[in-house]
This record gives sequence, structure tokens and C-alpha cells, in this order.
Amino acid sequence: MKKLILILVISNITLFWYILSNLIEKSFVAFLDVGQGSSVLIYNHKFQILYDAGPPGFKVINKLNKYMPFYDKYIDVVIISHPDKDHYGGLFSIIERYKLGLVIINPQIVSESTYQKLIKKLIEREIPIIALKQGDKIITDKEELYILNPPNQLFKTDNQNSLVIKMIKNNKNFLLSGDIDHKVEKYLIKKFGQNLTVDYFLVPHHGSRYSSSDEFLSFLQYLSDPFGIIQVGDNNYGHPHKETLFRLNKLGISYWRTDLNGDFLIY
Amino acid sequence: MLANYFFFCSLFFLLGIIFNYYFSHFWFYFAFLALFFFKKLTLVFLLLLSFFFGGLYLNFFNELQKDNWITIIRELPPSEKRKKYLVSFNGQNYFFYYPFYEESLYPYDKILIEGRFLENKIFPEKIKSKKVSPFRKIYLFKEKINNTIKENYSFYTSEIIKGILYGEEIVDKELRSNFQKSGLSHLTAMSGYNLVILSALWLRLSSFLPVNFLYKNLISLFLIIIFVIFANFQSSVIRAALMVGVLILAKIIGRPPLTRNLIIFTALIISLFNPKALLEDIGFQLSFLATMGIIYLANIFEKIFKSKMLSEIMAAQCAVMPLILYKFGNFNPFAIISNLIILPTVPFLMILGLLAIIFYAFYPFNQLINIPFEVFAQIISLFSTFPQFYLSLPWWFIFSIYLIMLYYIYQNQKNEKIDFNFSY
Repeated sequence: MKKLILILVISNITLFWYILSNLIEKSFVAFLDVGQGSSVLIYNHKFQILYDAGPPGFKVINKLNKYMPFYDKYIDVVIISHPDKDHYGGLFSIIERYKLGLVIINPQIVSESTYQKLIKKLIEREIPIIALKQGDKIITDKEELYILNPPNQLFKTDNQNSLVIKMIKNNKNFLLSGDIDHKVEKYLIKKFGQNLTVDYFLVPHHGSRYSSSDEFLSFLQYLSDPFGIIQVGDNNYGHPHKETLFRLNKLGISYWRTDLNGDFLIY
Repeated sequence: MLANYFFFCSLFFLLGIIFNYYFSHFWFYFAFLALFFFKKLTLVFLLLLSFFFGGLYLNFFNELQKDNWITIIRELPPSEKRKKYLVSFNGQNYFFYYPFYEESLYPYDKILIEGRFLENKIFPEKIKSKKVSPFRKIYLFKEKINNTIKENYSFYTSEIIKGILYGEEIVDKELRSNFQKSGLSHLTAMSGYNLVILSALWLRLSSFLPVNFLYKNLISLFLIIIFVIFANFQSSVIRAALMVGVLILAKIIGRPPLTRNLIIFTALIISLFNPKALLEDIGFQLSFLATMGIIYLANIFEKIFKSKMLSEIMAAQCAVMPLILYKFGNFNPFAIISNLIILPTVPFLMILGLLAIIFYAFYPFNQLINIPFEVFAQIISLFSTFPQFYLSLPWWFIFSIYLIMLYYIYQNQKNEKIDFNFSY
């Protein structure tokens, strides 16, 4: 009997310690290493946003399991920047294990069959889907998310129509850029100018050579001293491209590669 | 006497299969020719006949399986980008890679595909037609349970519950390798242990039910069959289920079998359904070796250690170790310790898992069930850090070790008598 009481007391203490330690306000942005693909978890203890879901498979689930407490099975908002498999594929396994509050997509209509399957599954599970564009914003207790792209007049390709988001959290500015190319970068500079001040930015299109143009990088560098994160894994496209890395080095922008260095967390 | 005839005929049938698998066919004609020298039905004649039939059955089976349908055997842990299935095609086993977003396939579905074949891998491009498996309803029910577990409990918890209750493969690479490294993968791969616990639970429960002896046992037989289907026809579960099933039947009839007959009968039934299973499926091999170790070798250790559990674990590990060393090249000597610590907790975890399924809707409270499983996962990862030893041994060394073991068993058991006071 004494043993039993002892066990109960100890398990109670550990339990309460665990729950209390998780209730303490915790907020961070995690750029997840999910292989070739992109996924960013924007976390605070009340509200979670996932920007892109990574490639198909369980890597995202693993990372979410690592950064979210085990009793939290609810993600408030999932943003799919554009319909590419390395950006929405992981959502197939996420919807099996987590309840989602809302899925945000870009306004372009895509008839690709796997994407249609995903939309169908989301509708089956009664998860609301909305399309946002330039000028929309999401405001939570801790974060402000402003959507910069795509504009009313859509671009031609789906990469160009990626949802580009500027986020302000803990007095830090983030730019989540999807797979945009140099054309869109030019457009963003023209349209937003001073507002593009960022501390951390996701290097567009996994460090492809057709994105992160000299103009864009030097403009960011001119506004503030940014830090780049390249979300990349094993791939056949040659990401991140040498030229991009060269441009980053030339301008003295330091960067973090998730394939070499793992996850990147900012508290 | 009849029991002995049965034992040796089945043994030679199995030997015939093994012989025909490893050597060329013409040996069989010698066996066949030898049959003509006998004019009476003697034991040797019967043995040769069953040896011959064993070989014939293997060839016959190979021919029988040649249609262009792909049969799904079971789902394996997924690769990085695709779902992975074990399938059989024209009598051979392949790995079948299938996109994550497609509708899932269930064991004994049959499909016709267009696609690429690479060595032992199949990459489908288009599924032309599909025959639905006869057990589909059971699998859909299982899928429902899977989904409730997945949605309501944390990643590790759901994986462990699924693995420990009905042998679903763990999808997470890290957790799976932790189980393997610590020598505990038999827990999630459904060894007989889980089945024994479940049937013991059922017997406890059913003692409160107002049904008579016969029906109670028939119901448990039925439950075992359902359970085998639930566990995706995994090799170790089939073995355990056959053994338990025969024991239950024996209990109904009231006549216990010889242990060696029980073992050979299980092997025979499995070989009749798939003659290559015992030769190619490492799950079956390990499962049989461990069972034989527990049955025959445990009494040696029991003299030394005086503890039933420890000696059974030691015996199973001893029987399994040479084959593991031969196949995988590494072995964890601390597996004995980790088994000793973990095994007693498994019944509680299984009961907790059942509770987790039943009480999934009680939201904030059901999350408490996560805690023991999370702790369990941590302990397993701790065990997996224990050092392993790596050895590569030649096949004849392994073979002679097993021969010595067999000789020992033969010496001890040649006068095996039926123990009428059996209980399970």
C-alpha cells in the first residue's frame, strides 16, 4: 500500500510539473528540416500556424511531435503557399493525426489531380478552406501576418502566385516567401519598398538560381541586415544553386541550410 | 503410435520442401524410384512418400501462383516518399511502392497494374483493375480504430498502442529502430506474448459470462481468427494463433497433444498455405526458434536462475541469437535485461491501450493515457543506446550450433509422454 501511494505521488508530481511547464507561455518560429520541401511552424501556446506542410511522408509529423506538446492535437491554421507537392504533400499525413481549424490556399485554380484529392479530403473532414490574396491579414495575440502576394491580377505560373507573408512576431520581422522567382521579387520591391524590412527571411524557392536576384537581396540588405534560411534536402534540381549561395556570400548575408544544420528556431 | 507416424511423416514432408528448395529436382526421382523397392506399407515407405510429396507440392505451388495479378500481403513501414507494401506476384515477393495520397490497399486485395519493375520493387503508374479482398469489412473497421487512435493521441503513443495491441508496423523510423536495437521489436511485431495476454484477458472476462464451456472456447477460437486478420496475417501471429487454436481444440476434445506434434503441425499448416514461408520469412523462423527455445531449453536455465520468466527470456534469446547474428550481423546482449524490465509492463500497457480506444471521446482526461506511453518510448530509446556487438559468422557454424541444440533436445525429449495435467 505504501508503495502504491508513493508511486501515485511521484506520478502526480511529474504530471503536474509537465503540464505546468507547458502552460508557461512559449512562443517561437521553427523552420523545420523536412527534406526537400518547406515547412515553418509558427507557435505560441494558444495558437499555432503552419506555413506549408513539407513533402509527402512522416517527417513533418515527426517535427510537429517534437515541437508541440503531446496533448495538443489541434493546429489552428495551415497555410499552403502554392500547390506544389513539396509544399502541401505532408498535409495528407497531418490531417490523419491532427485536427485543423482552417486551411488557407492561394486563389489560383489548379486542376492537378493530387491537389484535387487533398481538397476533397479536406472537404470530407469539414475543414474550412479559404483563399487569401494581397492586402489580407491574420492577426493573433502574438503575431501579425500580412499577405503581400499574389495580387488581384494573378501571375502566370503557380510558383509566382505563392502566398508571400510578412510576419511580425516578438518585435522581429519575418518574410515567408514560398517559391517566387525574380519577377515577383521585383514586383514586391516596387510595390512595398520600405515595408520589406526583415530580420529573417525564407530564401525563395529552396535557393534556386532564378530566385533571390541580386536586386532583391541587395534591397533587403539595404533596408536591414537580414538572415536567410534555405529549406532544402536531397534533390535533383540542384537546389540550393551555387549562384544563389555566391550572391548571398557576396552581399554578406549569412544563411542557415536545413539540410546541413537541421531545424532553425527563433524564440 | 499414430501420433509418431504423424510427426515423422510431417517432418519428412517439410524436409522434402526444404530439399527441393535448395537442390535441383532430380534428387526427387531417386526418392520416387526408391518407392518401388517396398512391397509393404512400412514407416520408411511412408516417410519417402511424404518426402516426395513435399518436393512435389513446392513445384506445384509455384505453378499455381502464376497469374498476372498482384496480391497484397501486408503493409510495411513506409519509405520516405511512398507507402510500401509486401506483395506477391507470380509466386515471388516484391516491394510495392504506392503514393501516400492514394486510397490505401488491404491484405489480399488483388490488383492489375501498369508500371515499372526494378529487381524486387514495383512502381505502379496506373491501376487497371482491382479485386477487393474478402476481409475488407474487417480492415475498414480496423482503419476506423486506427484513425481514432491517431487523431486523439500523440504520435508515439498512437504508434505504440497500435503496435502492441494488434501488431501494426511503426511508421516512425527512429522509434522503430529503437525497438529493434533494444531487442524488443517482438512486442510491436506481435509475438505470441501479446496473443497470450489477450486470450488470458478474454478468459478472465468470459468467466463472468453465463455461457457454457464449449461455446466459450468456440468464441475464443473465432476471436483468434478475427485477430489474425486484424494483425495483417503476420507470421508470428499466425504461428501463435495456430498453436493456441490447437490447444483450445484439444481442451474441447479433452486430449492434449504432444508438444513436438503441436510444433510440427503448425509448421505443416503454414507450409501448406505457403511452402516458401518457413524458408524465406525470417519472422516465422525467429518465431519458431523462440518458441522451441522456451519449450525445450528453458528448463536448463531454470535450474540455475530459479526464475521462470528470466529463464524463458534467456532460452528464447539463446535460440534466436545465432540466426540473428547470421542474418543481421549484430546482436544486443542487453536484450535480456531490457526484456526482463519491459515484459512485465506490457499487460498493463495493453489494458491501457484498450482503455484508450474505448474512452477516446473524454477529451481532457484521455490525454493522461499518453503519459505512460511517452515514458515507455523514452525508456526504449534509453535501452537502444546500449552497446551492440557485431560479428559475422559462416553459415556452417550457425548450422552446427543448431544441430547441437537439436541433439540436446532429442536426448532430452525422446521419451516424451503426454502430460494429461496440462493447462494453459
